[in-house]
Amino acid sequence: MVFGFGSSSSSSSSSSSTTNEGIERPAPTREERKACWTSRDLYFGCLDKNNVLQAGDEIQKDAKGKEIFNVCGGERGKYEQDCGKAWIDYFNKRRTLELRRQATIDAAERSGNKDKADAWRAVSGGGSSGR
Amino acid sequence: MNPLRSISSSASYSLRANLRSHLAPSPIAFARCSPSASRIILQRRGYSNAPPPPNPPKEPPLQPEIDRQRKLRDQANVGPFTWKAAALFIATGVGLYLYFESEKAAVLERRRQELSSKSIGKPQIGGPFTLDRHDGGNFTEKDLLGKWTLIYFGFTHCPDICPEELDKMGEAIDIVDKKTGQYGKMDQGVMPLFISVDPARDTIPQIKKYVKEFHPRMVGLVGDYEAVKKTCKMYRVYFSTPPDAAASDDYLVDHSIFFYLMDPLGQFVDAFGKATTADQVAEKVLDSMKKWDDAGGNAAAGV
Repeated sequence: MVFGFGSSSSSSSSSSSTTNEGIERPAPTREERKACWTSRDLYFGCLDKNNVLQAGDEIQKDAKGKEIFNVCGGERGKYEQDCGKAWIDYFNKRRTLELRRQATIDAAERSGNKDKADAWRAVSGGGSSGR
Repeated sequence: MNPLRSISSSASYSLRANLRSHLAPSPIAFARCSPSASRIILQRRGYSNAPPPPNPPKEPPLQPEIDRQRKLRDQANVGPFTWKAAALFIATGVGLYLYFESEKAAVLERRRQELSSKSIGKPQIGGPFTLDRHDGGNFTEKDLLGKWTLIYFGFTHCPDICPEELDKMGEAIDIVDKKTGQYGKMDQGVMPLFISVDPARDTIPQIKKYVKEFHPRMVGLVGDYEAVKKTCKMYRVYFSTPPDAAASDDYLVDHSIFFYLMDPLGQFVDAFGKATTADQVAEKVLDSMKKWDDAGGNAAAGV
């Protein structure tokens, strides 16, 4: 039995069965991981631009009942295509936590509480850049 | 009689008289004035032109009467001061001081011995385990002997932290290899070890595929749930995979994300977290290697 490696293409590779014999749920390869991270960063960047805090909020109505018509729809579709569900849940949750952390730091800094701001900055934010 | 001595004696007498009238009695202050000196002053005073002391006693008629009054007054002013008490006081002080000094030395010595026997208080990380290698066969703690090892616990479905940390580990090993002239060699250099904490999904073929992405020398290990759990316990690694997870499930594993440096005796040297860079890891590894070699290296360690 031969397991190919290192050469799997970056395009949708769930069909490349030769590398995945004996693996019920193959883990993403390096290329697949990279593709997922790229799509995630594009989607989150779009949410930032549109001032959407919680991922998913952009497809609902806002508080005034005015419809926000699927901003970032394309980015979201790509994100969901390139990343598994467990990963998406994880990235979304971490983004929320990271935004909250940043908000706490900003608030502490505005009120002149430098120690508190530094303490929160020292807390690992999970490095949302993802590389 | 020596005039110089009489002057100094009367000076000390008047000083004493002043002290007596102003200060609380202190045995130390009076210890310098011996009774015989006082007697000399008093004897002398009748014949000298020295100015009288601040509180001159009445002209004494008889020498024994003078001595008796002096003694009474001394006792009244100084309190229960005796030379015996002073000697006892000083002896007790010196004794206590010497006792505490010797106790302090004993404590320090005990601590020093504890440190040297416990290899500078290092945490007990590591121990016997048996897991399966990605390339066939078993891997036990004995396979750590004779080489430096970096160990990371993770899982192949890890979203971002594991691949980042494993990339860092591979990068650090390349830096070390280049410095030690072992770059590109398969049978030398630091061994990167990946131990899966997700036995349900991380089959041998899956791990084989995974470790190739990070370093050509990387060894991937996994076992059944119990074996993995036991190994993690030995290495103080926390992980959250449910025991009944199925291979087809979509879940993440929460786990400790630092990696360990182990010496050629399989003993813990250091742990590196997310904030440590590849350069810092490499530096620490090279530094540990140098210290090891300076101390005699593998030959001295018997591995």
